[in-house]
Amino acid sequence: MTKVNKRVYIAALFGSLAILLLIVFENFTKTYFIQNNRVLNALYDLQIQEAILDYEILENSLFLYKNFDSIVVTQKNIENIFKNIEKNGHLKKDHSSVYKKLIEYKKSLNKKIEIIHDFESINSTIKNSTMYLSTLISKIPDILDENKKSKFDSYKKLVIKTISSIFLAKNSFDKDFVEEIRVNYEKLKKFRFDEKNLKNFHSVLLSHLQVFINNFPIYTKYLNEILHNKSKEKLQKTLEEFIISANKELRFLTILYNILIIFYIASIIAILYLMYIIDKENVLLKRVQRKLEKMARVDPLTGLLNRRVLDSDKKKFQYPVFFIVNIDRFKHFNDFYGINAGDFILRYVAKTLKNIVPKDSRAKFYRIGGDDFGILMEKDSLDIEKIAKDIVDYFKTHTITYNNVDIHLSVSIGITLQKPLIETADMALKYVKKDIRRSFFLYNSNLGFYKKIEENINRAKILKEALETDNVFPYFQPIFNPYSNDIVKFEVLARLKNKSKVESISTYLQIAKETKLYEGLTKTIFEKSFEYFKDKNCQFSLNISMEDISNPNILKFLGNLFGTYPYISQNVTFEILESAAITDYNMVREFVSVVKNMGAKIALDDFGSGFSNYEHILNLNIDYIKIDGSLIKDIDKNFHAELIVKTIKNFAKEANIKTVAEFVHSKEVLKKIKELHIDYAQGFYLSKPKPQIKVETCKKNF
Amino acid sequence: MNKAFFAFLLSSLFLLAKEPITPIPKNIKYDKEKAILGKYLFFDPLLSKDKSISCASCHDFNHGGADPRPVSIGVEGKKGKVNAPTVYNSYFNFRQFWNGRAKDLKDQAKYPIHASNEMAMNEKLIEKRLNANTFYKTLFKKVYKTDKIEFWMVIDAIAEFEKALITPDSKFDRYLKGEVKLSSLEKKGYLLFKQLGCITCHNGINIGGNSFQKIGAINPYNKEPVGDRFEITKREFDRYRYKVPSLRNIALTAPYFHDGSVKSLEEAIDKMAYHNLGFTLNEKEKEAIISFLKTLTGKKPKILKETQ
Repeated sequence: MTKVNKRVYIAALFGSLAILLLIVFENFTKTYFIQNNRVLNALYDLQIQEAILDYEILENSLFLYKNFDSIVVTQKNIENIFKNIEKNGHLKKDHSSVYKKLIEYKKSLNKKIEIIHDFESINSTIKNSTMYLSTLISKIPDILDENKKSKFDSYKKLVIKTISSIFLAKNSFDKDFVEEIRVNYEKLKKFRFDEKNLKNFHSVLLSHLQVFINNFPIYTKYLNEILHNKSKEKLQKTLEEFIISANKELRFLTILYNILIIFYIASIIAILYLMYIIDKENVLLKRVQRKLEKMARVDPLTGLLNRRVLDSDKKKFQYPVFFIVNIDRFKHFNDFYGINAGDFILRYVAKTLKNIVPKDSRAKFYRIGGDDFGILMEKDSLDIEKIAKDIVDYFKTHTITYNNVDIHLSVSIGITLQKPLIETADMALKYVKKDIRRSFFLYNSNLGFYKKIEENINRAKILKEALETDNVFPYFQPIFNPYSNDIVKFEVLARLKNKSKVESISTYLQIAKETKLYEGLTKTIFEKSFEYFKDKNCQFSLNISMEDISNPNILKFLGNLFGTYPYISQNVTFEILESAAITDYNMVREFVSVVKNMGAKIALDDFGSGFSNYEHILNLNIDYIKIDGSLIKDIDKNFHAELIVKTIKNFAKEANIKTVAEFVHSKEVLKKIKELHIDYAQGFYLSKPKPQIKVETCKKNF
Repeated sequence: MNKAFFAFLLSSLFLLAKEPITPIPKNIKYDKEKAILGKYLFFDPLLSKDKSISCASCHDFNHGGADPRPVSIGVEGKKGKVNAPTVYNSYFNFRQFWNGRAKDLKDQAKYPIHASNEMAMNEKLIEKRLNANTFYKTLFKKVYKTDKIEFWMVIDAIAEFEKALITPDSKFDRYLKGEVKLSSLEKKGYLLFKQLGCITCHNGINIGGNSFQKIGAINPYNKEPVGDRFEITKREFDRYRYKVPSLRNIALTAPYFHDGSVKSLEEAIDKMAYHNLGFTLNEKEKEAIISFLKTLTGKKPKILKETQ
C-alpha cells in the first residue's frame, strides 16, 4: 500500500463513518421525535381530557340535570389514551421513571373517577331534593283554623327561609349554610301537625331537608376532591419528568450530532490533505513533464526550438515571415576544424541571430537541421530586408575565435512570406546559393521555384527509371570536314526514352548531378558507345564533365573500358565540358595525360563562352577546341562573334590545335566557317544526331 | 395551544348541552359476519355445561331482551340472585351488570358462562366443543382466518352481536329528532320526568346506564341488598347502590328492579318516587309518566332477522 493509497482509505473511512453516523442519527432522530411527540401528545391529551372531565363535573353540579354520557365518553377517552401508551411501550421501556409516575397518575385518576361516580350519586340525590323542595314551597297547604294560624305562619316562614338557605348553599357550595339549615331543621322538627295534609307535607319536607343536610357536606367534599385532585399535579409532574427524560435522549442526540460533525470535518480535512498531496505530486509531475516537453521542443545544442515546434508554431501566425539562415560552407568548417568547432559555430550563430533580430519583432528561433536556422515572426511593419541585411552584414564584419583561430563566417538567407513556409524559404535559399552576388533573397512565387522543384523531382524520377530499364542510349552526330564533306568523327550524345519518346539528356543533366544519377549516366553512355564502336573503325567523341574527371569511380570505369576495348582507344576523343567552369586544372591535366597515353584525344567543349583561360589550355596539351555554339549560330551576322572565333582560330593554329564549329544550322553559317578556315563543322544543317551510323562513312584520317 | 383547544372544547360542549336524552342511532358500525357468528353462539345451549342454557335463555328478545322471570335460572335449575337486565342497547352502558363489575360487553360475557349457577362452563370445554363442530369451524375460519377456535373469539363474536342489538326509532327518539309529535299526555309525562328529578339519574342515550345510584336515597329500601356495588367495593357508601338501569323498552321488560320484585310499571314508578324522591305521585302524574315511558319502546334490532 502506498502512502497516498493509505490516505485515500483513511478519507474513505472517515467519510463512510460520517455517512453511517448520519444514518444512525437520522434514524435515531426520527424515532426520537416520533416517540417523543406521541408521548407528549398523549400526555397533553390526558391534561385536556382531565380538564374536560373537571368541566363536566362542574357542569353537572351547576345544571339541574345533565347527560352523564359525556362524562362516560371522557372517561373512555382517557382509558384509550392509557391503552395506546401501553401499546406503544416506548415509555415503559425507555422512560421507566416517567412510566412509574404515569402509573401513579393513573391510580390517582382512577380514584378520582371513583369519586366522580360517588359524586354523581350524591349529586343526584341532592338535586332531587333541591328540585323537590322548590316545588314543595308551592305545595304548602293553607290552614283554616284561626287559632293555629300564628303558629303556622312562623312555620311557613321558617320553611321558606330554610328552603332559600338550601338554594343559597347549593349555589354557593358554602357549607356554612348547612349549619343554619340544621338549626332550622331542628326547629322545624319540633312542629307537630295533626291535619293529614299538613302532616304529610311536614314529613316529606323533613326527610328532604335531612337528605340535604346529610349529603351536602359530602357533596362539597367530593366536588372539592374532584376539582382539586392531586392527579393533575401528578400528570404535570409526569410531563415534566418526561421532558427531562426526553431531553436526556436529546442530549445523546446532540452528542451524536457533534460526533457526526467531527467525522464530517475529519473527512473533509482528510480529503483536503489528500488533495494537497496530490497537488504537490502533480507539481512535480508537471515539472518533469515540462522538462520532457522542453526536451522535445528544444534543440539541445543551441537551445533553439526544433523543427517539430516550427511545424506547429507556423500555424499560429497570421502573416508569417520565415527566414532560413544557412551557414556557408559549414561542412568545410566541420571538416577543417573538427566537430567541436562546428558545434561552437552553431551555438554562436544561434546566439548571434537572437541578438541581431530586433526584440520587438517577437521572433521565434529554430534550428531546423544541420546548419539551417529558422526565424519565424509576424510580418507587421517589419523591414524584412533590413533584418536580413543586418544578419548578413554582422557575420561579414565579425569574426569568431575558436581555440585562437579566427574563423570568418558568412551566411545565406532565404526569406518567405508564403506558405508552405519552409519549402518556399528553402527555395529562396537555394536561389541565393546559386547566385554568388546575393546573400539573401525573398521568395517570389513568380519565379516558379516550386514548380521547378516539381519538375526536377519528376525528371529525376524519369531519369532514374530510364537508367534502370536500359532506356538510356547514345545517339551519334557526325562531324564533317567542310571542305571535303567527309565525316571525320561522330559525337556521342546521350538520349533517353521517356514514354516511347526519345529525348535529349540535356534537361536531365542538372538533376542527374544533384541526385548522383550522373555517374550511372556517364557509365551507361560510355559503355554503350564502346560496345557500339568496338567493331567499327570510326572516330567518336565522348562528353566528359569536371564531375566525371574528379570522380575516381568514373576514372576506374574508364580504365576498365580501355582494358576491355584496347584496339579502339585511339579512336576516342574526350570532350571536356564547360571549359569556362574548369576550376582544378591539375586534375584535368592528370586526366588528359592518362587518357592520351592510352591513345585517346582531348577536345575542349564550349570554348569561347565567358572567360576562357588560354594559358591553362596550352598547358593541357589538347587536340581540339570546340567553339561554343553561341558564337557560331549567328556568326554570319554578328561581327563580334566572328571576331572572337577568328581570335580562337588564330590561337588554336598557333598552338597546333584543330578547331570545330558546332551549331552549324545554315548554309550561311557553313560558308562563314569555311571562310574562317575552321577545321571541322557540326550541326543540324549538316546532319542531325542519329541512333545508327553508316560504317562506310568513317574516315580514318581525322 | 392547549388552552385554545380547551376553550374550543368548552364552547362546543355548551352548545351540545341541549336535551339530556339523546336518540339511538339508526345504524351502528359492526362486523356483520362476526355478529352473525355471535348470534349463533348467543342462541346456542352448547355454551352451557349440560347444553340446556343459552345466553338467549335469560335474554328474551320478545321480552325487551330481558328475563321475564324475577331472577334468572341457570343449569340444573339453579337460581340467580338478580333479574337479568336487557341486552338491548347494552353497548351504550358505561358498565355492565347491576353493580357495574364488567367494563364492557366482552368482559361481561365471560361471567354468565363461568358462573356455576348460570352456564357453569370453562374455556377449555367450550373450545373443545366448538372445535369438534364443523359448522362453527367453517364460521370461525371465515371470521378469524384460523382453524383453531379459541375462547376469546367466542367472547369477541358474542360481544359483536350484542353491539348490534340496538333498538332505534322509538317514538321518543323520533320526537327528539323532530320526526313525530308526542301526545299531550306523553309530553306532560316527559315534563314531569324532568320536573320530578327522574332525569337526574335517567339521562343520556340509554336514559340510564351511565351512573351508579342508590336505591332508597330518601326513604330506605328495606329489602335485602343483593348484587349491589358494595359486593365489589366493600364500601358502606356503596350499599344499595346499583347501575341505573336503562329505561329504553321499559314497557316490555317487567318484572322490574334488580331483584325483579316489581311486577308492573306503575308499581315501579310508585316505588321509585317513594324511595328516591320521597313523595307519592297522584294518578294523573303516574298516567302521564307511564305514557311517556311507553314512547321509549324502539324497533327490534335488524340483526335478529338476519342470517348468513
